Amino acid sequence: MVWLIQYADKKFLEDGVKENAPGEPLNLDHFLEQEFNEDITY
Amino acid sequence: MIGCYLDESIDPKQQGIFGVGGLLGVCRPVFELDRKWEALRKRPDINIEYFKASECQMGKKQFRKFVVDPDNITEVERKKLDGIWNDFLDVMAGDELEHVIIFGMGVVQEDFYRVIKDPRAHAVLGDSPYWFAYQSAMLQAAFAMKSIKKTGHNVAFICDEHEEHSPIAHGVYREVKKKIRILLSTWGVSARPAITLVNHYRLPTRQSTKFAASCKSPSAGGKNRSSEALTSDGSSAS
Repeated sequence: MVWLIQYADKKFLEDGVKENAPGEPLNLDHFLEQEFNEDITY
Repeated sequence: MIGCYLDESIDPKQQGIFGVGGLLGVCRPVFELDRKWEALRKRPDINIEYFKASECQMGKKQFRKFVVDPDNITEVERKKLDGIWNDFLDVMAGDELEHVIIFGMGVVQEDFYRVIKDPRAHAVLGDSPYWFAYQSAMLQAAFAMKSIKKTGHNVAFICDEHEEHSPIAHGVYREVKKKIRILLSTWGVSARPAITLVNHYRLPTRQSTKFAASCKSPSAGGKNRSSEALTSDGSSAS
C-alpha cells in the first residue's frame, strides 16, 4: 500500500504565489518532481 | 486505465484543514474493495448501515451506539472508534496484489486565508482553497501515473456531485489536462445515491485531513510532506 498525502501551509502557499501569475492557471509542476520512495506496482 | 475517486471536506467555518483526497485503483481491487467494505460494515461487532468517516471520528449517528456521550468520548470509546476506522483503512490496504492507493491534499485554512489577504496572492489563489487543493490532488494522481508510465496507465477521475464545487472541479481537470494530457483520461461526476463507492473515497479525504493536522507544527518543515513517512501500514498517518 502506498500513501501519498501532502499538506500546504503558509510557506508552501507563498511559494506557490511567487511561482504563478495572477489570472493564469496555477502552475504546480514542482509536484511532478517529487519522488516516491517505493514504486507503485499492479 | 486507473480509477481515481476524489472527494473534499467541507468546513464552512474556514478553520482547520481543507482536504481533498481519494483513492487510486484498477478494476479488480476496486471491485474487491466494494465487497470487503460491505462485509466489514455488516460484521456483528460493527453492524452499521454505512460508514462515514466524520461520524466515526465524532461518535455520532451510525457510531452513536459505541459511545455514551459523543461530547465526552472516553479513552476506551475512542480506542474502539479508532479501531473501526483502522479496520476500514485496512480493507483499502488489502494485500500486495489487491490494494488501492490512498492519497490526498490538505490545505491549512488559517494559512490560506492569511496569505490571500495580499492582493497578488488572492489573484493567484482565488477565494477558497478548493481550486488549489483540487489541482494539487489531481497533479498527485497524474504523478502516480508518471511513476508507472511503463504500464501505459492513465487516470480517470470520478468525483462526488456537489452543487457548489462540482463545476469548479471540472474546470480544474481541464486546466490540468492541458499540461499533462497523456496522463489523464476522463472526468465524471457521480450523484451520491448512484455509486456505492461514495463512502470509500471519503475515508481518504478524512485521513488526509487528519494527517495534515498532525503535520501542522513549526517543526514540521512546511513543505511537501509526502510519501516518505507514509509508506507504511497506515498507523503513521493516523
